[in-house]
Amino acid sequence: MNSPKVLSPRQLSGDSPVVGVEEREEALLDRCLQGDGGAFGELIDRYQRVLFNVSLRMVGNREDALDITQTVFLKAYQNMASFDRRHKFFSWVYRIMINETLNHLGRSRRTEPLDETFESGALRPDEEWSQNRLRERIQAALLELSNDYRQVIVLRHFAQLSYQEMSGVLEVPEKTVKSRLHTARQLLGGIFSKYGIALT
Amino acid sequence: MNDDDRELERLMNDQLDGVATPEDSERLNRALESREDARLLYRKLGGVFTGLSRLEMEEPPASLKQGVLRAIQAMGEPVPARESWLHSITALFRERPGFGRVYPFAAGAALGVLAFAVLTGNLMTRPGVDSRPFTGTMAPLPLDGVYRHIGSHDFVLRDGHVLAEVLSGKEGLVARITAKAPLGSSVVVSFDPAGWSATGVRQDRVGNDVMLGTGRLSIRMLTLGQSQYLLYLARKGPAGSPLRIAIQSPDGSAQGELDTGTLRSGS
Repeated sequence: MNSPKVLSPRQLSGDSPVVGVEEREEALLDRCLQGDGGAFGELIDRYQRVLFNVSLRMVGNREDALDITQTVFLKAYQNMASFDRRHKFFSWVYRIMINETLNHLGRSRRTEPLDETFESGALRPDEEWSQNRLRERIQAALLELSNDYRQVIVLRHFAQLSYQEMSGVLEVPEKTVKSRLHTARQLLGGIFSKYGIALT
Repeated sequence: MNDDDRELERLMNDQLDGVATPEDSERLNRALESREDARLLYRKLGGVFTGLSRLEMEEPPASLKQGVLRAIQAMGEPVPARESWLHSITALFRERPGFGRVYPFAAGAALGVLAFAVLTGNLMTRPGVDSRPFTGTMAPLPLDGVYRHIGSHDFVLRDGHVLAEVLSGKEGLVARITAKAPLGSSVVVSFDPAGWSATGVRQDRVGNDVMLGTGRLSIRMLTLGQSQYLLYLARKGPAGSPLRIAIQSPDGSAQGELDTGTLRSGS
């Protein structure tokens, strides 16, 4: 059997989309504290997409993700004055997001397992439809992970945070982040197999 | 799993994460060429990466930003971080050496006054605006069959509702507020402090700002979804004055009164 070729590195390396904007962000934060609503609007523009997607992948539906993301921004605005400027703003916001998401998950019911119809994955000629079904299955598989494992997957693969950034957000050592991420991927691989999701 | 396996797993994850060094990549290649189990594991991990990449980033709805900005507009400016009153006093003494000698005495006196205020309940009747943030449960009382429903007012908002109810019992009455209102909305229950004293507040879902002040309970919605609040009131005077409910939401305002009259007959 031929050995699989080592994949070329994906664009998941340390360059998170929010790094490199710190200087301008400082000015935005100052303006927010002076009551400039437009400045907070700019912060929303900067983070809403990634935070919404983090939330969406954590909870699995758009409506809840919207509620959570709005609550996160509101809490960030309300507590802006207590934000320690020695830390990175995005780490702080992500931490609020993670807490808010976990609170939400704690309040809501556990995710139901896939039903019969869903698992049968009956094929239709429509390619888009089958792609959507595949995405639904992958999302459902993601929801089967425990919160701790799901959040490392989501922060790495959707927020594209580096190990170091994840360590800051989750307030655990980098070593723990890596080990949790590795285990999460192993588990997810097992769930993919269970759902018949075969991707290489 | 032995140390070699753990190291191999690290190499695979680093490689797929794009953070492996050229030396690591080389070592991984060698391991994959020589070990069947490593190849299988690497394929499986690669499948996870591929699968996750199929979940594309979705665009958030436009209402996300609009909703937050509307709520912020209703809320006003962010509040600057405040130092506690105790911190301010100790800072004063520390910064002025002349006060150094009287500091132990003043601290003792302050603690004495505080203890007296707590024991006599004077903190509950301090005049002025709402100043005590409330989280969790204060003096919870059971809300069971001993309470009788005596009136309610249902406020229908464009994006939610607030149900205000009054229930009476032996010890006094309970105002029950059940709210599902847009972010940034506020609900204020006012009562005559000469006629009623608040003996406790209870909320079933922590997360919103709840303040108990003299003659009023204020709730500000910081989370979405339904939440419920119980305000326990003990009668101080002979007549039961009404409770006033005022609601401010980004969509407008509403207000109303709830009669507590049946208490006048001693129920």
